[in-house]
Amino acid sequence: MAFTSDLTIDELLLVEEAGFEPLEFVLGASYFHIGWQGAGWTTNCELTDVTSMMLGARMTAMSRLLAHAEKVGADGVVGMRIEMEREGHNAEFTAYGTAVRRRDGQGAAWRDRHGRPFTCDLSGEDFWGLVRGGFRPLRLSHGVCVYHVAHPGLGKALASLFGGQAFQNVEIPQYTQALYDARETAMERMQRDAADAGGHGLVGVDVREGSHGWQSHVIEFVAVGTAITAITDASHEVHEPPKVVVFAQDG
Amino acid sequence: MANQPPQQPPQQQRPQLPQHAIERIQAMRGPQGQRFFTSDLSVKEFLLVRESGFECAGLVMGSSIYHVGYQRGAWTQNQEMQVLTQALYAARELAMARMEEEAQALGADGIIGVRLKVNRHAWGENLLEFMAIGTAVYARDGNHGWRAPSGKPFTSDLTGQDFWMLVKSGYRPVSMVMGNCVYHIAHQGLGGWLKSVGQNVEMPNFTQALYDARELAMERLQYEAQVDGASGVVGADIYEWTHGSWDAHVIEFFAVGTAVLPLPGQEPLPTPQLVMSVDS
Amino acid sequence: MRRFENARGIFTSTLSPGEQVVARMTDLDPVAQVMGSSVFHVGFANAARGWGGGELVNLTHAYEHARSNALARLQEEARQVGAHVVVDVRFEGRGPRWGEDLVEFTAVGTAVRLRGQAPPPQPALTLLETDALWKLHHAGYWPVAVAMGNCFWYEPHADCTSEGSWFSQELPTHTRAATAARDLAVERFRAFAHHFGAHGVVGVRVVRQGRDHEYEINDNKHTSFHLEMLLMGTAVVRRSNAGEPPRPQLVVDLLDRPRRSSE
Repeated sequence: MAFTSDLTIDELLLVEEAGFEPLEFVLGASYFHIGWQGAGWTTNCELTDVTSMMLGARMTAMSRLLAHAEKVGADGVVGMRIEMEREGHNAEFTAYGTAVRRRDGQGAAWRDRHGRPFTCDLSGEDFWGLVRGGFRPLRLSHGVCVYHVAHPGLGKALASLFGGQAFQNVEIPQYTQALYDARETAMERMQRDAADAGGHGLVGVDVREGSHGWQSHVIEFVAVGTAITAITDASHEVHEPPKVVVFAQDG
Repeated sequence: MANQPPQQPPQQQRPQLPQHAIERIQAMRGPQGQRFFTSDLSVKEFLLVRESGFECAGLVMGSSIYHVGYQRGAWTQNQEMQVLTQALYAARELAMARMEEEAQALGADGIIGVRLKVNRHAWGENLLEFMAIGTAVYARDGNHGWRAPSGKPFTSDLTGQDFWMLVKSGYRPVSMVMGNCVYHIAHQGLGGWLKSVGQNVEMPNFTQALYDARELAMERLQYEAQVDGASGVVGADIYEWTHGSWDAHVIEFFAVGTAVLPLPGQEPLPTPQLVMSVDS
Repeated sequence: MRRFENARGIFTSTLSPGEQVVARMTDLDPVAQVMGSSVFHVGFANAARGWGGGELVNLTHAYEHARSNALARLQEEARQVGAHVVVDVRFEGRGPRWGEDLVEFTAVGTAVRLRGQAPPPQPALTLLETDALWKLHHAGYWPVAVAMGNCFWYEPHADCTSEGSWFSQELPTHTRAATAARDLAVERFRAFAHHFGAHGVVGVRVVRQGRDHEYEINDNKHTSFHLEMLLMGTAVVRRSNAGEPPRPQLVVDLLDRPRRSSE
């Protein structure tokens, strides 16, 4: 059975060097209608329905990709990414990646705590580097928080601090608090997702923030990172310190 | 031209961290011997940081949202807008201090890969969010000698690769240092401009102003490094921009770098090998 | 067809310096820029409208044939110059807008000869560029063909129930359409690869274009969903005389990476 993959040739070689063979280019999609959730103007609060939909849609796309990967007998998925495209009130989430399988038949030791294939957004190069360094990826972990920021009017906010001088250079604690809460919540959830997979840490964490186009004062935080854990197999090769080189061209 | 560095902002109380941040830090700290770390280091950086003898403690960040008002300036003079300089400095300091607080709560020896970001949000005019974010690390052998002379965790904007190379070359990071200067550049007046239309000519007014402003920013950066007890600064860079709705003749110059101290007892770097990538 | 050598035998090349080095090291000589075109008329493209939906078979076939013909003509041009392989194959094309019934594709690529070897009866085609081709060769593989699988799907009654809805919910019709289109495209893609006896397909790219289209029938508003799915990649076979693939070595370059910037 021919393999298919969207990895570059370099990545293919490195994945094989790490002891895996490519199986299939897998994908999973989900389409969602994004609802509207009201919030009081003067409160900082999470829009929990929207949060759970934005997370759920991504998880649905990912689980379909995983089902596809499991069907072809994969031990993991490398180079996974989830893309979102919006058209009006509908959003399409698509997850892509290359399913891989351990060549020495010890694939079960590489799956996550629930026995499902590992997922990660690492390139073939990073995957090889990680394995060589004595770690293995478990799950591309996600945490989402869609937050509504109170807007009582800046004048009022300042007035409540200083008697209304618009020229003041000063911190605005309500806003600071709101954004802190939202970001931290997204990151906490990502951490929990990683711990659930059996991870001891996260690398490559990215906290992206975007505004929800159709609602002002609403920000969406999405925290994404790869959960990893140490490889406990004593026969696993330990890496040597890197050799220092200089590339003879720019970039 | 005032050559004195600006007054240090009044001593802040230990910045209060929001409840969620405290919870997340506690969760990462975990029961004895079971730390859970988060980091935004790439895989290569992660491996190099470990190679240097450190483990990741966790992703730390601090932020503050400032209302940045306006300060009137005389249209005929090049001058610093000191109120704004102070405000932007204080806002960044606050963000950094909160980030350092998170690192201390984690028991870290230092913070690597610090990024200072300025966000403008669509719903806030004249509101700027300053965010400092980095990965806190601790020395695997429990040696707290890596901390800054003040006893606080070291901070640096170095990437994992740069950190590894700095250590290998015999230095250690002490603190991320900043210097800024908000400068108003005088309008020349329409008559003066018209005279020079069509000629290739230097505009001495502008040139001088830019020189002065940059010098001020760098001086302040160096002063900070001295105060922190460092012997040098690496990777210093200057950024310039106008914030939001400011007049285009008001520019902020912001210099940032990592202050360092020598690290005794490092083996010399091996001779590098020349390679050429065949990637197009 | 544009040749790279002019009458006096002076070599002009579109290769980058890196690719030049690779070409010299691996006996790959660029010979000519080649192309192939095909224009197809689509019969009854919108025939599916009004019934339960499903694959727009005429459209699928029209696109498939247009692309295949374009590739075949590109391959013929390459064969005429005695090439071994065509690298960096790209499609440039215009599909129909609603109302037009013509679809046109042009395939372009660089024909390359292996120095000192007799050309095969049919040159191989690949989406890869020269340096990737060299790495592929080094890894013990060689391209045979550009594998493709496509599908046009039409769903006449998508999204009718959640119009204006305040709730977030999944759109099962869209999902079903996307799954069906994907399954058909993948099936054809694999069949293509199998036909050439490939051991694998590398550099797979997927192009999906979905569009909601609102229309009215008897004063009732409907939303239809139109999806095009295309998979493309380079089908490869293992070389019989392949040696051990090169082993990578971990290095750190001293050049500054783009620094995490402070703003």
